Amino acid sequence: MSTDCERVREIAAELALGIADGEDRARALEHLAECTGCRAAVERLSSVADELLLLAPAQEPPPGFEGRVAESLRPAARRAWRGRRLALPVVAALSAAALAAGAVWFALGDDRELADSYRQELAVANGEYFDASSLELPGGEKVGYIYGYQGRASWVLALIYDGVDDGTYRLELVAEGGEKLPLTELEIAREEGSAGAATPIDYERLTEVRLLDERGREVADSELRE
Amino acid sequence: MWSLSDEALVAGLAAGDQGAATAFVRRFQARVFGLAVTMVGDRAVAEEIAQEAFTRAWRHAGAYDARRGRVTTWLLSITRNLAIDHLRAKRTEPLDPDAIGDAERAMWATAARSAATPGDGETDELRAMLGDLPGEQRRALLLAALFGYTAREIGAIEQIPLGTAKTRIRAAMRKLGRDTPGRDDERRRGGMR
Ligand SMILES: [Zn+2]
Repeated sequence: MSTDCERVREIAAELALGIADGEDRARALEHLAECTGCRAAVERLSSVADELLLLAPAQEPPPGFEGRVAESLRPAARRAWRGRRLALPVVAALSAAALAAGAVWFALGDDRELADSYRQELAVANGEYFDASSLELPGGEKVGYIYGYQGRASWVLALIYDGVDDGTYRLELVAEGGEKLPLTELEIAREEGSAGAATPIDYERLTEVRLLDERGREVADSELRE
Repeated sequence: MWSLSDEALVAGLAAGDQGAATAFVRRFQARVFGLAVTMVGDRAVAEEIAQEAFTRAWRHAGAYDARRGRVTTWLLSITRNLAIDHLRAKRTEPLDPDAIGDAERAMWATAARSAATPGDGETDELRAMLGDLPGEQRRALLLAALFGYTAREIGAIEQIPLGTAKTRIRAAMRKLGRDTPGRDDERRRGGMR
């Protein structure tokens, strides 16, 4: 550990609680951007700070709150969206090494936990449902996930976190009869990328989502509802 | 047929699905409002903060990253930041000496309640660890975590040197953080027994 590391470790608790003073914080963030060990240490304490918030007792808000808030979230301008880069603040920037260090809360490496949480059965109106399948290279190596959503409009979201070279890709859907449908472009930078879009047909009728490179060659593939 | 997970609701929110937005508010409103009340102590202000928290979550839903943490903690940390902005803005007023005590008691009240409610085990261990801290460390931690006070401010409130305030915060966080990795595994094993 360098002296920089020692300095960061010393204020790790304050960083995690968001109460470090500006100058200390700026200097620490610079260091965290390039030091996996310190990042893991701060992430770990950040998850403690986050978890503390769960201890506050739940309380029902005043009547009408739900309706009023839901109404304010209505503007319909955001129907389909695509190609949005994942926002990864410096402190949270993930790397395989940070995961190897055992950041449980950043559950990227824990497939079982991810799958469990995505498959949690939670009741919601309108019978919409949600599906998660892994996106794999031909050799079976997992590079991300495909999330499918069946609602009044269906959509598919791809999340790639590892193992695909940076560049521009396309997502293609395969329907029951083998018909191929373009979905959206997907940009991968630093081995990460995500894109989602409404699907032209019901999610139920899709069998596969493929990730194609610029020349249309399949890079990775996800068999839905396996 | 599966129904929606928390993460799926956020994704639905990002996709502009009104059904998902309503379900999202319904699922989390008591948590968000409860935290806001605990922090600001005023229901009317807490309601505004809670509403703003949902609006922010909705606006940034596309940037939510499931790998970084659970939806609940994401949403609660948005709520915390808003509440702290509010509290810091009125920092010129002296700290209500009851506020911290009320918050502390609120956390313990849930402790008692959840001990009687099987299945709500996710935070029990943390709560127990919080209970084991020396009172002065717990206070310093809650002043920082729930009210956004800096070490310097905590020093002034508690009338202790800055170094002592820092030591209390760090010691508390170190103890709570010590056993964090692996806690999920223990929980899983515990749940299967
Ligand atoms: Zn370091």
